[in-house]
Amino acid sequence: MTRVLVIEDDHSVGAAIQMMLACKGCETVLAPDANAGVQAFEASKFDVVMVDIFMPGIDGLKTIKGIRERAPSIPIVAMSGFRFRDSTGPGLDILGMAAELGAVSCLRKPFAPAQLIAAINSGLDPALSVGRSGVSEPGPKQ
Amino acid sequence: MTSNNSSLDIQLPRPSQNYAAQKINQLQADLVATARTWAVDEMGAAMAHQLNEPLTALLLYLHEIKAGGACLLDTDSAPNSMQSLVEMALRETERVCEIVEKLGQTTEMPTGGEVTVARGREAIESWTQTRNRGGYYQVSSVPPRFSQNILTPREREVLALITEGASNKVGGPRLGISKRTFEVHRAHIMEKLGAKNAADLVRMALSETR
Repeated sequence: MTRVLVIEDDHSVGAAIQMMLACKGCETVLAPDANAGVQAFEASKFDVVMVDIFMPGIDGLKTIKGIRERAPSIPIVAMSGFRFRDSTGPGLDILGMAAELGAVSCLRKPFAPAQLIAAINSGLDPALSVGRSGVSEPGPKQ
Repeated sequence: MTSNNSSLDIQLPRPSQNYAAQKINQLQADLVATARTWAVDEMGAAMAHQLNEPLTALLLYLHEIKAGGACLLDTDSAPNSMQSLVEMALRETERVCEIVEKLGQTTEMPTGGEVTVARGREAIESWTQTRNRGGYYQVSSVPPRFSQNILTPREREVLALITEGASNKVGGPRLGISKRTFEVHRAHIMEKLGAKNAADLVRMALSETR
């Protein structure tokens, strides 16, 4: 079973992701901030980590850096609904910054289930990929 | 013909005081308008962020409802009925409505908007500091005694370039950051120091360095 750590300060978003991933046979652990996320990451083994960029306290960019230092090869998915923009041109590419720090995929909120699954699968070993035929899908209810 | 030693004295008409005053007024008006635009843009970004959170949850729930919730019915760890799925989607819709309601009642940011902007600033500040630890162009900053407890070292560097007359396009690359990041720093400095416009900002910086 694919294990996903979701570091997200908005509980509703975390719960919705957890629900969607449960449908795809993943076990999801929610962490409301960077400290809780890093603690959970160190206490258990995960296949992929999802990190919200704008969180209170330690932000997602620092969190990605911290996780990347602990596990250089773990797939990290960055997500953000915030965009700096102005009337004279495109905004700062926050998710691009996350990618430079080592995020394998970036999700701009709001996103649909297919985008969520594609982002997670982009960094996963094909043997662990979620939502595909027969792999990691939940079995029939006992 | 003139000799090689002779000089040519060209007299250009000097702009009148009125013309200069008009020009300054125009520039100041432009700067005020730009500062307002920055403020509105930043507020818009904070509002979008507030809405994007419940919309993300709502979108995920609605897709599952559209799919008939069949997956949910087969899992133990998820809500076990279509009814609860609809209730969760409804709750998120109400959250969106609350935010929109607040937008209609006030011109201020929705609750939490200031926090969102602050988070964004912290993340960008952290990022630019990380990026500029090596190899990038270093400039002397405005002396630390200028608003030492208010501005970050990076903001003092940006302010130094602003007082030199550097535009966002020129100043950003000189610090190894994007034009947009330079703009964000400029906006923060103006807000922190209470400068109404860039001319105000330069005046404050120069008065401190004398």
